[in-house]
Amino acid sequence: MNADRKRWVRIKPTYVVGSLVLVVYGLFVLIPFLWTATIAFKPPEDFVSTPPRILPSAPTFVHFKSLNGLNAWTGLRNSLIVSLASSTISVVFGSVAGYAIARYKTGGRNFSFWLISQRLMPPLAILVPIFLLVNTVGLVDNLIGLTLIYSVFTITFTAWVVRSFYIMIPDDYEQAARIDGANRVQVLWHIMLPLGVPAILAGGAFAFVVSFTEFLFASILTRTKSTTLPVVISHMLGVQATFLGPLAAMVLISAVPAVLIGLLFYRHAVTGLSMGGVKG
Amino acid sequence: MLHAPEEELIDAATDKADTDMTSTTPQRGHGLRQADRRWGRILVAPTVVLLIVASIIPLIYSVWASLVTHNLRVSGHPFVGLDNYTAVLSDPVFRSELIFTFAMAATVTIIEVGLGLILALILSQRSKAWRRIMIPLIVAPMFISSVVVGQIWRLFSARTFGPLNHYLGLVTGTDVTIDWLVTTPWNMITIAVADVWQWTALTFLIIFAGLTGIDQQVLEAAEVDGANKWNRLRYVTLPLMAPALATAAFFRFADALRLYDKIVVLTGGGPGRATSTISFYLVEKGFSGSFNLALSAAASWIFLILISLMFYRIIQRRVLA
Repeated sequence: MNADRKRWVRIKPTYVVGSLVLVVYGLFVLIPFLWTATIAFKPPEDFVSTPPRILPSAPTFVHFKSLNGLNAWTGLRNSLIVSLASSTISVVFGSVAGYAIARYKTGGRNFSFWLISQRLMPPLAILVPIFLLVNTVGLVDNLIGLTLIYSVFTITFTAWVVRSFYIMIPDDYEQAARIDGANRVQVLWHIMLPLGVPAILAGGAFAFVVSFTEFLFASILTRTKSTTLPVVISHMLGVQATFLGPLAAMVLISAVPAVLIGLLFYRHAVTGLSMGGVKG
Repeated sequence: MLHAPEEELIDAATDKADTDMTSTTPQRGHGLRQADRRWGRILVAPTVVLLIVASIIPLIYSVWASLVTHNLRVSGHPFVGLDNYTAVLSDPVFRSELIFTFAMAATVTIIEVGLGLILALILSQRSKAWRRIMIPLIVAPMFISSVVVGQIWRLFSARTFGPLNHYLGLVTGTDVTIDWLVTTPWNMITIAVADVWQWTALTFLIIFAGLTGIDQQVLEAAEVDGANKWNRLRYVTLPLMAPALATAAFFRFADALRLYDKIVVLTGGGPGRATSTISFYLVEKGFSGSFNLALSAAASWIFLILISLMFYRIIQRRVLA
């Protein structure tokens, strides 16, 4: 405490500059988002006023109501279904794989290397064959096709988040249970999986967010009935004033859930998104 | 208990014959290791199957697609050798979009790592209250869909309805009429700014994690030895931070090479092809016009080989170290 205060007094100029940098960056993040958020509640006549009107003259929900005719709610529903289903598949298979890699070194170093190259490979390298594959089995414009593709995209990374967690858990728990006569399945189901719940949840949450926000494959693999929210939003390119309100409303219904889920688990994001490379 | 510390196990696993495992469980011996191995393989199997079906097979298929004729104009798929590759490589559009992709990725990576480092250095000195407000704020944009990020910045900067020019005019005292989404280089700047807005979050998180992991005793020792604040940063903190900085730069660069979604919304890759990345090339060749999937596949392989050559050693050295 005391030392802190002394330092504070000594480095005051740097402290001020530092605070300024933080505040400016905070505003840089907030302002564009808040601007969009206000648009969603502004009556259309506010959009064209000069100088720009910061707060809505008369807050309205009319834009959210108009989303019915613009496929946005269908898009949101599709996005939620696909993301929930794919993150479930991804987390069920990915976490046991991550556990095996951590605990039994399954596949050794080469397998880990392969998993990481999967993470780094630009997905568009397999865009063409994935499209042909999904087309061949008749799953274009079908939520099942997209769900399977997203499960595969996220599985390496849920496996890696879970692996990074189990690597830090000492073997003692397992050894003790084994000596007490539990078999491998019991150890995994009753001891190791419950222990890993935080990491497994985090892996699932990130898998959800990745699927919920994906655009490139959704735009190629969906046509009409299974379009996801990002695809619907990408079509909103008009410049007319009547267009902006619904667009801003869509931005909100897409951004808010993803950000809330992401922030709940962001502490795990480092391992998730960099695949544990920090230690390297 | 009987087992070696985790680090030793990892080291042991890197040797092809992980003899350490047996030596640490002497009373159980070979049979246990076999059973462990089998159980591990069972657990990994579904993941491997999924990856083979949706990643390995498509990759192999795309090798084939890149070596044949595969478009709507020609029926059947006659073998053409490397013709698709030479066609792509001699296409000036491909080359200029490849250059734009790498240049844009490098630019945003440098800015995002620099900014992430600055924010992390400042916040590492701050109280809990600062961190509790700033970290979620810095991190939040990376969870927003890139398409949505593009729309947010379009709504903010577009000349016709965005407020940006008006407020820039107030600040500079002149009439600002920049067309942020159309005029080069402003359109490129808008794309870069939107990317920085979204992804500084990631570089910040990686660097901040590295920074908080530094042993405080080292810094205190340097302070005792009379190093001032600047020298401690220059000669102690930054060298210790090098791995985290490299990791942040590496992952961000790898991801930035895929830049597509934001640009679709912001500029549509235009005007002309001025802001088109390699992804635009692949999508346009393969999924419009004559649906020339062969050219698209060949282009993606050229891109993939380029990246692999760049990344292979880095992954081996850094990420798996």
